[in-house]
Amino acid sequence: MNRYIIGRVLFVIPIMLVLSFFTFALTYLSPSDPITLKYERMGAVPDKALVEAEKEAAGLNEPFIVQYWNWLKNVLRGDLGKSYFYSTSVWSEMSKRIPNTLVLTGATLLLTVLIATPLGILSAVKQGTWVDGLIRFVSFFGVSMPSFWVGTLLMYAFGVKLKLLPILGSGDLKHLILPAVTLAFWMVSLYVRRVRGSMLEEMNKDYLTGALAQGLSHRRVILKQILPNSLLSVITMFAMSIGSLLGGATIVETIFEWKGVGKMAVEAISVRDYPIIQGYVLWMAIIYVTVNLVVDLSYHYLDPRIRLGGRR
Amino acid sequence: MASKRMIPRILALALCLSLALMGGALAEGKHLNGALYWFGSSLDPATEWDGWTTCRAGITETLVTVNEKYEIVPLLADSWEQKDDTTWVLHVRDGVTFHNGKSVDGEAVKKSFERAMELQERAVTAAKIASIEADGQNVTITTTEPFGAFLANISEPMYSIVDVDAGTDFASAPVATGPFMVTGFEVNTRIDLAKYDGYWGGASDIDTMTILMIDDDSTRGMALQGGQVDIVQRIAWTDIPTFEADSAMQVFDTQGARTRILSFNYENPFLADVNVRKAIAAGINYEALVGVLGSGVSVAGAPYPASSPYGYETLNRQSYDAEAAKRYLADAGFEDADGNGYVEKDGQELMLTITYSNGSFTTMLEAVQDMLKQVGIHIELQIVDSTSELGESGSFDMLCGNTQVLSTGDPQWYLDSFFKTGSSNNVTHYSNAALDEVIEKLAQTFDIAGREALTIEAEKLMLDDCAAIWLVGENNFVVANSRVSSITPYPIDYYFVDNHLTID
Repeated sequence: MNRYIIGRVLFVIPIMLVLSFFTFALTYLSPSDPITLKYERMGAVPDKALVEAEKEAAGLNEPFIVQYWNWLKNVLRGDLGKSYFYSTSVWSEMSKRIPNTLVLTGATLLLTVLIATPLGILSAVKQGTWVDGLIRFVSFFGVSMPSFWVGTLLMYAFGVKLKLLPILGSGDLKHLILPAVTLAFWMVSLYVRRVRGSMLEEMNKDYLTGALAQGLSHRRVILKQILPNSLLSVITMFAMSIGSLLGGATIVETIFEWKGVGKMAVEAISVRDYPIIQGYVLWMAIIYVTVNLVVDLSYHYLDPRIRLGGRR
Repeated sequence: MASKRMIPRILALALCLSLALMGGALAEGKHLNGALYWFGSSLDPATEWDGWTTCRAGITETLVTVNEKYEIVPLLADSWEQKDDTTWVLHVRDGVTFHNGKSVDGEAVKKSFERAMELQERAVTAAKIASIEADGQNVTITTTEPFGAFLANISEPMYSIVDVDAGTDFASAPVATGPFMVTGFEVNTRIDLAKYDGYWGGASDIDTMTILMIDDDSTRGMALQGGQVDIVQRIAWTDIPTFEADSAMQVFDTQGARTRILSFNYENPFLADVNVRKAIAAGINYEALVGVLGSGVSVAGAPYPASSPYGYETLNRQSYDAEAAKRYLADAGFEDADGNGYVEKDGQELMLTITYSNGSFTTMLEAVQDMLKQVGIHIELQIVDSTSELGESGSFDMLCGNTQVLSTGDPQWYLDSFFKTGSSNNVTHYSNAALDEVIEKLAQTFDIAGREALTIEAEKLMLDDCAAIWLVGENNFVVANSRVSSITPYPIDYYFVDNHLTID
């Protein structure tokens, strides 16, 4: 088991090498350089000599492979480099933003689990009734509404009209509510439908009839047998959602000025901030390897029939 | 018993929580929250364009400044004298102190200038400084050559006067002379400020201030509507009517010096013909463009904005005349022989591409495309990440960008950079001997009336030759709620907060 985990963790190294090389190559191939773009963004007309001097100092005039090798050498020494755009080290920028993303992800997941699970179960158990109809109707709306629109509506209602919650910023609980609810709105809607679907699938299986025939109560069978079995199929999907949330909810982070990694990544891409992009890719690789590992391990505990690493 | 003991604890916890949530409301004295759309990555005015942020936030000041009418007026220097073509003596106002209480004298100014010049090349070239000498409250600055824009150019925020010996980290806490001093700074997030009681111009009525960076236009607007901020610079143009209709809001707009310009590639054989350029200029309905874009812009029509002292009203500005545009095309030998709506010459259709990088220009350029189609010119639009490199490579027909044409309230820089033969930003390869001569004369003319007259002469030459097309001028917007008063709307957008600003 431990060997399996170590193997999976070490697997991040080749993944990272391949990913970083291709990201580096792609950003390098795209036109424009980070220094010029930074100044254009400020609305300034940069002096050519200044741009050239900065490019030279940042090593941007080196051939592609030299630039990549320099970056890789520094990373191996634990130095992720310096952002061209923020003028700070990549690590200091990311270490400020990752906690914000973690908080937003945590709050969103908590809301999703707390709301989507009971509603999904209710909807499945009451299949075909008005309760089911209402839940499905609302969740249909939820999955169809784009988050920038939900976010703007919430901002307008709770920030501008009722003045109950701050519109932007990150920091305390008050600031967290609107962005987390915006993200959770879509997630809850998605998972209500998902939980409902897999519950119904399980409820059609023979063992339900068997359990009921044995005299077990309906409630007990739903909670102890059907729910754990149906959650198994939801977990993979949920893990992918965790991964994408940890990668940053770009749109929500942008409209609420939530200083997370998603907004950072998009800004970095638009100004070709290679060191930040690479730092972000590293972060994403770590997330996905970790999330996938946790999912596999949780499968093993939830369903003992599944053996890890092909061993019996 | 246990539960009884819990009650005061719960109450205390609840009180702490509500106090924490009330946050800023408990701060003593008058507090103002402002928002900007962009921050420099540090608060060191001498690095890059970071001085624009410190200037906006009222932290740093320069020797001279530019007022609402683009006039150079005293700030830290209360008088100056030009000794000869290259020597300027400026007298530093008595009684000015840095945020640490230290007096500002000639020596402090000298050190500050030298620091800026050491930190970036731009500070050396923009004012062409050769040497600086200090004597009491006087500083004598010598330029490398006669340079008429010297005084205007030292108003650029990179020349902000800071206490070089203060021993603080200038990136997060510069010690300068403005009405506000920095108490906290988070990169790309917020600047916390407190008023400087010893400010030479009279301490501000506002005790503390927070400036947030909100780069999304609609979020900035909503933060203002929601009361999270009191005053903002720049707002989404589409939101302006909403704010204007709201009695609880005040909207200030001035025609700024940032102009959207179409520039031609003079290596392109079509565009090298002045009649083709004139046809394009006459084929664009400038009033209609303003209509398309809404209240955020004004008709430009000339190189410098109407609010500047460079004879806007007296100029023969670009204007819309579709018939004239068709005539110019005919004069250039173009006609629509195949009847497809676009003109040709020697079998080649007049097809030109406008390249731009700012996504918000699309609506305007689509309108231009449509207008020019009416006169027979086929325009294609192309959006790219950056026009700078394309400009250098010369592989473009027309570029569209927005440029601060009076960046320090002086016309010289724009003429020098974009229209002088062979200059570094002149990627269009424009060359006009008569204009070069005027630009040269301007550099060596120091009296204000003389400079204005030469600028008007240069503008006339550029308009006659249709050197570029000045489409629209972007307006500067400052929007505030009704609690804020004494707002000065400046046409140059790196001025924002000053010591006159008050809040109820």
